[in-house]
Amino acid sequence: MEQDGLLSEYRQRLLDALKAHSTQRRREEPDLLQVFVNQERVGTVACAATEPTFAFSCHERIVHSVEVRTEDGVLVGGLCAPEFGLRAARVPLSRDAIEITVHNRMDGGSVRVAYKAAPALWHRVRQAATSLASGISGTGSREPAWPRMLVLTQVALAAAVVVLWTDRMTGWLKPEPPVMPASQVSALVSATQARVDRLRQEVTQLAGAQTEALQTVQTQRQELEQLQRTLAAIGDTQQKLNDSVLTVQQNLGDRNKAVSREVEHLTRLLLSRADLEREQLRHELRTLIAANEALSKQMATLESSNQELKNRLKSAGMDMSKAVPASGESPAVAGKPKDSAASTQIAEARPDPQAQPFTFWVTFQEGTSEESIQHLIDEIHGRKGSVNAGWYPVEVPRPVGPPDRFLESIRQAKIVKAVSMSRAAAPGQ
Amino acid sequence: MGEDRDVSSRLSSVIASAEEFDRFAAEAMPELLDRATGHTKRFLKETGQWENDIAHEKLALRWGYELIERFLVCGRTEVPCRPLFLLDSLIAKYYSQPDPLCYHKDLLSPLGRFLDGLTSRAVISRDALMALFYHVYGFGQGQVVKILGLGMAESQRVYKNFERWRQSGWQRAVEELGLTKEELRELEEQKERHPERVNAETERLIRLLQSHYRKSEPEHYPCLPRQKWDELFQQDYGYDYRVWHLAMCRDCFVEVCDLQSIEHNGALKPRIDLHIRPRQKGGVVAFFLPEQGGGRRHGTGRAAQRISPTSA
Repeated sequence: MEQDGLLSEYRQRLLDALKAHSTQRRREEPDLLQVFVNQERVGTVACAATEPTFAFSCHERIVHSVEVRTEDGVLVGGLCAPEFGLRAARVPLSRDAIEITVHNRMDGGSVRVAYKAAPALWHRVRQAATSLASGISGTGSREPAWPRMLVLTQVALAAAVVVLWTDRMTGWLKPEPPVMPASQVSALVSATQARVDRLRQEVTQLAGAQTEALQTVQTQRQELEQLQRTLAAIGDTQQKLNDSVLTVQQNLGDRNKAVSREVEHLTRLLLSRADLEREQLRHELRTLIAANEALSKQMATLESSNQELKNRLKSAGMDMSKAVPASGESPAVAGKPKDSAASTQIAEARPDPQAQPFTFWVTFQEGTSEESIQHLIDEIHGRKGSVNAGWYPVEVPRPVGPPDRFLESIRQAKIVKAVSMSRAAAPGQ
Repeated sequence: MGEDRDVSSRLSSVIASAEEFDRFAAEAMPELLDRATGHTKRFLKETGQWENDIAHEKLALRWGYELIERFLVCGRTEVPCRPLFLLDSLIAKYYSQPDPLCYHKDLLSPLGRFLDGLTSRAVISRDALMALFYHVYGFGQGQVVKILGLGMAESQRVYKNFERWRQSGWQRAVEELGLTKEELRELEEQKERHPERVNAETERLIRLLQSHYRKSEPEHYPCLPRQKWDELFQQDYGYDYRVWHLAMCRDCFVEVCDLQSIEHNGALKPRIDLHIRPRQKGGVVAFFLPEQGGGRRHGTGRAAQRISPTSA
């Protein structure tokens, strides 16, 4: 609680100080101003100097901020500088003012701080008189030189007239001179006449000088007007140049941005494409591996089937070789175990039912796989022939028990649809 | 709630002219200060320099105040603008600098805060800069003029600086630092009881502070070797250099004091000798401690201390 109180007291004190500063700022009449650029103290402006101006420039870095403080540290003016270009501000200070100008370029920045004191009373009166003279002669107030000359000329003329008038008056007011001889009078008249002539010449010269002065003033005025027009034209050109530079920079910036955006987009596109292709390749590789594995399995199965077939062929060959001497058939017949017709002929040709293998016909349920069929055939140690209209001829060595019971046991297998002893009884034959 | 919304809408609305900006600033000063303080707190927290104590709170308030002072002056030249966003951008720009604040835990003690406030004030105020020679070394106007080898006009200004600092500068600096009367009294008592210890601590802290605040000097104001300083004094140039650099660099100041001692055939030892209050007029430093309770004046047998008449 105590801490909160201390803090709020401190906060209030700071708020009061801020308010006091803003009031003090308006009343400040400093004798020395400190200039801070980018919070570094770079110089001072002596306000009483004939030309109270301070200029500063820094290379390789731009100006971010300008602060103007009094000698006791009160911040009286400041400016946040633009990143590029010119900015100026006029800060009122009591009756006076501070003019701050910042110019940031590509190679650095420059600052100018000028203290503008309010004009003194005499200066203001003189200015008013000048403007009045300008008003009378019908010229602008921007050229104070020639009206001053005009006034001076007028004053000189007035002085000359006063001298002449005084001279005349002193002549008239003098006491009556004593009567002089005619020769003296004529000499005096001629002397006076000479003086009058001289004064007339002087007046004529003065009038000529005035005319010349007026002409000079006129010429100067024309030259000044010309100079002002030239300056205005230069100003316009400079402004246009600045604008063009800015526009070019903006364009360059925009173009750079556009190019970088395009490059970025292209890169992103290429990367995404590469990613996609990589993913596809990976997928294909996986598929190929799986297919390869399946093929290997199939090959192994085929090899085992092949081996089994070879064994069977061998055993069938042996049977046939046993059967050949009895029947007188050529051994080539025994070399074709899968030929059902030949097998049937052999089966039918056996004279001894005990020595001959038992043959029967069997048909299986629809959808029964070859594997299941082969399994059943293997169980009964049989050998099946080529299928004919859904019926398989099966040959087994001598079955255990009577053939009917054997066939009945076969018929009870789930996959078996029907069993027949003879080929003629098989449907579709 | 409604008031808060009103304030925030006022802060984010467009200000069209400098006069309007002044009116707005006068009305919304508390909100602006709170916002700047909040940003400072966030900066301290995010840079791992924050602790929940009154010293940190005061530090945040002080920096918020400094930022608002700049905002009030620069903002006038930025119209038309939205003041809230302008303030935020100004603060962001300030805190985006590499080393914006002089933060050290030891600077949060009353002594640290006093020295920090004095040195930071010296960066912007020539009065405080000249007063540094007195507060840190105990040198008066005359000694400062002698050591810095200043000319007539510069010497006059030094006297003026001391006078203004005595009249209002010190009081304002202490108020803006948030040092209480009790803290000042405590500091003075410590200095009286253990001067060696306090001076040793001052020397340690002043080096820390000078290395930070010397950055406010122009880049072309580096430390010079003894020979160069000698040349600068012999050829009688660089008054500004002498004043600004020597006040902010203890090593160079020791070197220059040594040089000037030889020049003036007198010992000018720049020993650290902390002075809390400004030098009083007429060469008398009066340690009148603030009133407390029944208005009794706290003081010791050394309540008034006469200093060397040469420095007056």
